Amino acid sequence: MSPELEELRRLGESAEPVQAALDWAVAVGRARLLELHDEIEALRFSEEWRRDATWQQLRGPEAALSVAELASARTVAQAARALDHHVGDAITADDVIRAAQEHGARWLPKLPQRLVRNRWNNHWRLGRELVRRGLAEHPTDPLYHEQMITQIGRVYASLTDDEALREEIWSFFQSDRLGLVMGQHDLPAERSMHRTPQWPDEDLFWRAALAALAQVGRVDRVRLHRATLAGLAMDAPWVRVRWYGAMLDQLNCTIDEIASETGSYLALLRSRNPKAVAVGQRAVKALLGADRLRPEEFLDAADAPLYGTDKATALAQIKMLEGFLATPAWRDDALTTLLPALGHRNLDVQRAALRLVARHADAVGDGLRKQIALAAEGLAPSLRTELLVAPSPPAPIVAVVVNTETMPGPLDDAAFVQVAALMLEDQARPIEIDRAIEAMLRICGYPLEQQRALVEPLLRRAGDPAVARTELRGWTAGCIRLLAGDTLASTNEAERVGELLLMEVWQAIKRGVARPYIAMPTRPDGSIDAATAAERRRAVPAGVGPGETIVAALRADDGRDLLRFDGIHVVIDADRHRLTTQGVPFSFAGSMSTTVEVAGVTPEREPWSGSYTVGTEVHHYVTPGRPLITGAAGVLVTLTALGPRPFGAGAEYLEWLFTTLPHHPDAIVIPLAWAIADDMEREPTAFLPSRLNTILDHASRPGRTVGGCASIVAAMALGAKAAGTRLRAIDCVSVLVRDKGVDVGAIAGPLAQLLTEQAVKPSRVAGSLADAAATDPRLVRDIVLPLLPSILGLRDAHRLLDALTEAIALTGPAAVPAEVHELATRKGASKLIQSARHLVAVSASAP
Amino acid sequence: MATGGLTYRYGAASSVIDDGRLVGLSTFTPDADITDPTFFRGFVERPDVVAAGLLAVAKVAASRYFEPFSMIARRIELADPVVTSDGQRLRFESFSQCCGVHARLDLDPPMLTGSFTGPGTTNVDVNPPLREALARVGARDPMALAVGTDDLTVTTLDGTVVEKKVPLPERWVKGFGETQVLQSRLRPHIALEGVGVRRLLGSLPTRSKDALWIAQVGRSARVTARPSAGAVSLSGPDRIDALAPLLRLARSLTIYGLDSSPGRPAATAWQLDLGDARLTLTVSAEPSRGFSGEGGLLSSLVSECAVDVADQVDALVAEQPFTTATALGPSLGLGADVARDALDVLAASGRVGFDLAAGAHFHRVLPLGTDALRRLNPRLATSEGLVAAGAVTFDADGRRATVRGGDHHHVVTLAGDTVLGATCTCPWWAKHRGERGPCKHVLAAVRVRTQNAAAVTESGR
Repeated sequence: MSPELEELRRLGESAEPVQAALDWAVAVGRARLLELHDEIEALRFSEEWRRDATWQQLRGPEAALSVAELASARTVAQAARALDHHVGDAITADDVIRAAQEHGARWLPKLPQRLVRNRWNNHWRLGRELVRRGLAEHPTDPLYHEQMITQIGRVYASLTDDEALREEIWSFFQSDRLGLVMGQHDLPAERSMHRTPQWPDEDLFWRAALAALAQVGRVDRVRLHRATLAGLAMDAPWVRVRWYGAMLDQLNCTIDEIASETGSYLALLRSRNPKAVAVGQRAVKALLGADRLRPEEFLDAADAPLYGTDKATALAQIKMLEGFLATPAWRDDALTTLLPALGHRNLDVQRAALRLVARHADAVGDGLRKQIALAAEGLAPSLRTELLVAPSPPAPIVAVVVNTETMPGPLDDAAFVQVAALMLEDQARPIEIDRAIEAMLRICGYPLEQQRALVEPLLRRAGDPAVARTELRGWTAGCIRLLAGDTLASTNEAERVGELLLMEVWQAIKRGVARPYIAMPTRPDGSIDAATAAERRRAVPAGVGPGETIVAALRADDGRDLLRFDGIHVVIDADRHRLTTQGVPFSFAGSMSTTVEVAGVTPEREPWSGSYTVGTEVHHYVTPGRPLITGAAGVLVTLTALGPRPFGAGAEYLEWLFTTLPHHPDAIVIPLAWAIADDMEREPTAFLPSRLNTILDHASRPGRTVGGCASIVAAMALGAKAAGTRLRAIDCVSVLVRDKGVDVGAIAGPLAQLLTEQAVKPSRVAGSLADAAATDPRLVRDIVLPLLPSILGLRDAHRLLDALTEAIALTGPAAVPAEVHELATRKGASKLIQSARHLVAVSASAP
Repeated sequence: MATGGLTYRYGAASSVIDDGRLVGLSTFTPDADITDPTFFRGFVERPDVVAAGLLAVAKVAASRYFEPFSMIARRIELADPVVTSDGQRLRFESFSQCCGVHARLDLDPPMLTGSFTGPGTTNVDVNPPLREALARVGARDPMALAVGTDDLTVTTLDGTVVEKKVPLPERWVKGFGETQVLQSRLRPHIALEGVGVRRLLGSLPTRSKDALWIAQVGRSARVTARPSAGAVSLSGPDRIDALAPLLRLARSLTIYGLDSSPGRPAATAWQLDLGDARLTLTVSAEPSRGFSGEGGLLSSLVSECAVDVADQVDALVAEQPFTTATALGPSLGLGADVARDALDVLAASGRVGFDLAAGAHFHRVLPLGTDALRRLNPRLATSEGLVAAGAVTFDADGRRATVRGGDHHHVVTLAGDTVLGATCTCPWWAKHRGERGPCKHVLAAVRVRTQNAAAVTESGR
């Protein structure tokens, strides 16, 4: 450490370390300071400086070092860094000014702007002081105002003393983030224990301060009112605008003030934020009550809340319009304004609007009557008859699957290079990978020169270390290099069938002997025609390709014979739970277990863990990490043994599994019950591929075998959190019942169990079914009717009844269970009873 | 319009003046010595439609629908919408900050009563006070519109110059080109009116990671999670959120999709008919894909012939409000293909747009020439470098080309004389499978093939 810095360290321990350091800097001189700057910056965390001192003991030396760093700064960035390094508040604006001016530094005017860049620092007051004294430029960064909000200290006192600061309020009202930052500041402050007589509300939080300043005339109240309304009208989530709502409450505006901003309050009715709409509705109601708003002005804007999705604001708006309907002069205009409510998503809103429209429909002219008829198309089918409008027939069912898949032929040499390029980037689909393997086992028999010429365009990428990091990409890169003649070592051990298969291909390429790929699918779902598989097996010498043979046995229509070929002794050792191969130059030791028939069983939620299991009889087989698979051949391997990627890696891996076990999708689905349940409560993001979606997609694809569990999963997914998943579930249920011959009871049964065990939310299921009712009412009716007796006691059960009612309105009369009839006859006006009454009425009168 | 990361400089801030009766939209002044461009002064027929439409365009410009990790710390500044006048109509356009959504508000002649001063294109200042004022505009409020700075400086007596630094307008120029190419290939797939529009937009989930599919069923539409015949895709339903406030003003909704990509997510355009105005949102195939990187124009840009005639086509397009490739070809003695490529070349520098309702191209007055093509399309420039270095050699059959670069090479397989159906062994192609335009190797191979064919034709003469 330089002697000057030794001296600085000593001065840092004095009573006035900052002043001592400033004097020290003068004594050292600018030229020497500049030389020392790098050493000063590096010194902060060195033991040479710290000398085992505690943080408390270092406070003085740290402040002295920051002053030295500041005084030696050449640039504004260095100066800002010096202050950022300073932890406390010992360095004042005067100190900074002295450090800059005594050393002729030119960074001072830009310092506040630079300090703002560090969102987390605490230097707003320092920057503000420099600006106030005219020594620095006013920062243009919006963060300056955000820091002002959080670092101002006593809000009311600071604003009272500083007129220029009060003027800045209007600048930060222009920021879209103001509501958020104010909310973050005020909300904790309002709840804080700091609310003491020493810290009145006006000093603690902004909305109280601004209202108080407006009260005493130091802030323009009219301007504040208008700016608050503008913020509230912003098209943003409530969290970003709720502060404006609180500010408006704090202002407690008079009717005159509200009347002066009529346009802004009417604009709030057009907001997409229900709470902002509610504020607008309250003001408009007050204006109408005080006769301060012309009816035509109101009616022009009054339809907006009826186009939204919020029930409460729509009902409130209908209530307001009801008053105008009673006035003959405004009846037609009010009725026209009301019509969008007939197409509202919520049935209660539709009913409320329908009641008013039906009351006045007879008295209106032909033009308006036509408009009513058009708007009535938006009504739920069960309500249309009340306007004497026949329910439209259900829309034709959209055939949701169009792409019939065909199995492409073998890859030619050029196409292989193309697919190999995809595999190097992890972009190849499962069947493409199999086709590439088939091509590799052919190409490896070519003369070496020909092989090398073929794969040469891929060699650079294959040699990239980044490619080798993932298993399949790394394996592909290795195979390409082997084809190019590189000498690469190979392993003789595999723990999973998939690894075994890849190892065999690697060794075949290395040996350079072309042969058929035994496990090559003959159909796009991954399955193999049994005769073709057997023929390939016969074409391959004994002892070659046990892994391929196992996969072929799993894929083949009947693969039992495949495992009986001489030389491939796949021994099932039930006692030792090991699958071993003999007579081949490598060992395989995948886990296995005794046979279990996997039946379609409904997942159950475990009360203690909240996770799902699939029934006690198979419970012990489906613990994560050791689930079981039964192949067509009766060979049992664990899911983990299939590989090549780690179990549970996501959608891509699941697709690979489905093509490896095309005849036994349940064997994949059941062990994943816990993961599926997890997916149900999650919004899938780009980083979390949903296994649930992959399973639903698989079940919906043409030509795919569907196990008993597909219908269970589809039933579960009807109550998924993600709307996209619920859409998939509707499609899947429709395909299962319509195209794949699944009995609708196989959906309804598990759904009833899931609902009664509260494993899925009735409101979500009802939403899914209500959407489906428009195009496939018969399906919805057949699913919901059997549920009825068991779900009537559930919360939101009325929504399921409503979905059923709409389905019955489109399909015709249906026998509703006695429990619903009994419910409908009960006294009371609960939603459930009302829905039951409506269902009974519609089921008796439906066309 | 600002390009190349210039600073927007406005003679005054846009605002509502004259006691709320005049909406003054300040226009960008590209050069201090040039008079501020003024496009229109007059009245609008439906103030509520114009106000809501302008707000929707501004909302898209202020929105980011996809944020990669690298962008979380570095926010792109808000760019201002662009206005184009052809002397009869006004078009306001913007891109979202992620460049995956393009919004355009077309105001047809019956919507505008007043005087146009001539064709032109520039940015307009849309600031928070203006947005607040527009939000207050009701159906019965008479509204005059002035697109230009003169009225603002005169009426408000405020000569304050407004400056905004917006660093990435080049993305917009590229986006203009790509949306033009895309829109010219889109066809109407779904047409809905009244309740059907509302029901569809109401049934879309607010968020969905995967593509949704929308198919027409009678007078309504159904949303599914899997494709069906005639269905169009939508990835990121929140990206059409800007349509919602205009729902109550809309007569119909038309959804345009590509015919050529059934079963795969593709870009779509959503057009609300607002009477004598239309709001069109064009959304890219996936939220993570911005239009500026789609590379759909590159296939046309390799046509040297098209580049040569681009300026002639530009002059012709500028003379009329609408034009089509088939109409342009005979006027210049060109084939429709070359005319289409030439329009794409112009579009690559933002000078041509496409009006879906009219099914025709329109002109934008932008200060960019064909010399900007290479700067805006680095893939094109690199491919030209490969051609110049003689890196491309074809097999005897002329279908496969080896493109050398340094110590390695890639093999390009062509399906014809153009980039259509071409494949390459490079990692870039493997990642995108041609969905984001051809790679530099394919471009170089096509260019060499075209040159070889021209040489053969020449020697035959």
